[in-house]
Amino acid sequence: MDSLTAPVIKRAIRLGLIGGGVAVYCAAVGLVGRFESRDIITDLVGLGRGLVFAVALAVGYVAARRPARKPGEAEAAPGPEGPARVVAGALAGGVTGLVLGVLILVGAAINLRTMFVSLSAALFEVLQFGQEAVAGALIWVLGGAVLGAIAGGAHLVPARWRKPAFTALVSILLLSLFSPLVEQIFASLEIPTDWLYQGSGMTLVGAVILFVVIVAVLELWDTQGDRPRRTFDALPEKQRGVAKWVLIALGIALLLYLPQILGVFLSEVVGTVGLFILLGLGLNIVVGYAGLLDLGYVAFFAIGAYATALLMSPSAAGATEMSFWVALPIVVVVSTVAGILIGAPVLRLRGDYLAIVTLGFGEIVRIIVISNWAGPFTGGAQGILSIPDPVLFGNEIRGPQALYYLIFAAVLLAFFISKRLQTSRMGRAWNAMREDEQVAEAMGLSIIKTKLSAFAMGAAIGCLAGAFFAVKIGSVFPHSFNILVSIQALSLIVLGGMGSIPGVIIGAAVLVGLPELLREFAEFRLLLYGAILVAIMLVKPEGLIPSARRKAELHVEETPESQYEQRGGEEAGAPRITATPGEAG
Amino acid sequence: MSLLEISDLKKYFGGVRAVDGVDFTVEEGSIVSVIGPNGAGKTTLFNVVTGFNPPDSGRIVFAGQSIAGLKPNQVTTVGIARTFQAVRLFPAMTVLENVMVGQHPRTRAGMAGAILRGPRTRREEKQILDKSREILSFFGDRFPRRMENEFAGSLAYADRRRLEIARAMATEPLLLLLDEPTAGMNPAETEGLTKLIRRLRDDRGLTIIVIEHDMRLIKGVSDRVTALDYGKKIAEGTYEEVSSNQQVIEAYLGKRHEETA
Repeated sequence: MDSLTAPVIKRAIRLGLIGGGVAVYCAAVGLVGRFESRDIITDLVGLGRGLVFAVALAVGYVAARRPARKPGEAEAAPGPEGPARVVAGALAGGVTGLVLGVLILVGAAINLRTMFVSLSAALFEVLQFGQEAVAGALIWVLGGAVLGAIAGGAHLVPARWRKPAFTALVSILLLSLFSPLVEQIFASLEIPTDWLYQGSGMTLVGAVILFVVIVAVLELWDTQGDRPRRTFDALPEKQRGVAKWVLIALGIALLLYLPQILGVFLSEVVGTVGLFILLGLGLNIVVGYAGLLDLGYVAFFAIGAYATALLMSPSAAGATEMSFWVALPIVVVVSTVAGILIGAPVLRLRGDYLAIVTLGFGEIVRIIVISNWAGPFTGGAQGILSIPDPVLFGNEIRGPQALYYLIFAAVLLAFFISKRLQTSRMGRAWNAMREDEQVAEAMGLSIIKTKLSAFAMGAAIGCLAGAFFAVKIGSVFPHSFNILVSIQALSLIVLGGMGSIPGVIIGAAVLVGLPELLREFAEFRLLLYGAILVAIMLVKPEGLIPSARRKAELHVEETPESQYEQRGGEEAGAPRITATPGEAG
Repeated sequence: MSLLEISDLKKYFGGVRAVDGVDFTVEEGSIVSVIGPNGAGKTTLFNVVTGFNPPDSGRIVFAGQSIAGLKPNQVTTVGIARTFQAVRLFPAMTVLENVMVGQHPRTRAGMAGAILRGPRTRREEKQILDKSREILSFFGDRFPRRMENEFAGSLAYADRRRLEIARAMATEPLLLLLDEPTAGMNPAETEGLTKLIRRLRDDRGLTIIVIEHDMRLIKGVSDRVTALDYGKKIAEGTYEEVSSNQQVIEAYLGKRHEETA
């Protein structure tokens, strides 16, 4: 217990206070009360209280950890060891509970509702576990301490068991949270689910079964997981190629069958995610590959949607009533030209300046659409209605499940294009320009051509998203094309990892898919959105699935040689000191 | 025949006469050193020739063609490549990719080619790859095949200098401008670089202008030496002539009577 030093105690208390602050905040904004309507385990743990439990567990875990070495320090400060870890965890968790307990006591004494509408009697009922205020507060202090102790004690369990157990618990939480999704999939596969879900949460039996199964699978993967890999590597070159294609074909076949499993609602969600994957892939070329920070990307989404609507809808001015397949290439051409037109004036701009100007362009497009000048064509605020469904071989592509295929094909195309461009002469030129525009120019590449081609390619892919959006909704309105779309597209790239194609897909799934699935908590959407972004940028600044390049970028800056580079003068004849012995001549 | 002819070149930054009426000729196949104290206008001279700063007046004729006022990428395309005083690689690109970028002005594939990847694009891509590997192999065992996919930013300092030269070589220049290639190198590395510069001329047929402070390197490689001070040419000739020139000595060390005063 010697390691339970004053700094360790101080740190635990500080973490506990932070945790308490988070817990009180979640309660005050109504997160806890709203979440409690759902159960993690039916009649045992609600999602709202579970959220606070998770906070206590987290601070307990962190408090019991050895602190990380701070930059500039020779070695890390000593952390708690052995049983002291349990104590440190308990302390942190207990303080978190204490802070919430204070909230309960204060809430019982005075009416906080005049300031925080969410701190209702019903919420206190939940927080107090149906007890008196003092008892409720005590439960939180003790409960927090116990949870913190458990989390702190987890460090004493070998990683071999701790990690699978943690993964299993998180999986159970997620499976419980997304019960409608799982139920729908199981129903399509005709597997009964009543053993797993009852009422508004998961059954205890189901959770235990899941826990055991997941731990067992992870154990199996740990000991045998590299077997398929080894078998694959052992294959002769030719068979390996065949095996790879078989796997890809299987993957595509599964994705093609997906709408049948998912049903209408989930196909709709996946379709929306697909649109954002398209937007993300397009913007990724501009921002991720070429390094041009474009905050007005929604412009191309809008142009794609409006051009499609104008060409297809019978209600549009000068209605051409084209079929989707004739309209699509025209839309791409129009949008590409728009990309070049928007790119041309900003050729000289870089970084933050470019960001601000493109931000302006994004708004300009929306404002032109609702202006009196363009109103007769675009329908102003009323938008353009009755866009017909695309027709393929005489069949109308109607409904989310059918549209899924259309969007899937477009995503596949954009994926293919992104992949090819990444390792091409053009891709290298974009990368070089992103790294150092001046030097890139000295390598003989025309900045004008390189920049415009990035804008054009980004616009061409972005307008596809717009075109599919138009036929998906069947109508277009100016308010669908606000700056939030640009921000969302950019966020999902940053979240997934700049320049990383799988990153875009994961980013879209997390930032677009999750909120769609958690519609019942829609009022907290932006709050959670922000929290996710902040957390990921702190923990994994290079994104969830970073490209090797991006990783290198964040890594390279730490080497001493590059500090040397930054110190050295680079402008014309700037005086500079070097270590060369013969320097003075 | 002279490959580069500069006459009465001027470049002012406000009141600073960075390059002030310089005449300068470089014969094909020669190695010319440009020396001078800090702030003498050496790097500005490079910047003006390579199009980074357009000249205020004067003529720059390269291989019989006027290049004054061309953009940097156009200058590179006509056959002048350069390195930078502070190494400026593309740190988050691999060693091989850095060199491959250099091939840009000598190749054509555009967006359609990249996406469709037809036989012509594939042929060109292979050509870029072969050429880049050939250039890397010029540096002997410094860039073995297993280093190809390492990020340029993770290289040792001297290798970054070499990679920058390799990248410049990939643009297939006639004239190579090296801006203080030995800055930050130890004597052994400087020695190696001296040999490398000679080989660039002897084996690859490049004409080279090098800005340097290291007198051993200048002595080791130069056919001609040009000394600049305050934007003006103060001496020109062989190493022996220039290094014994009174004006040059004064520019570097100050005038004798000032020193003793």
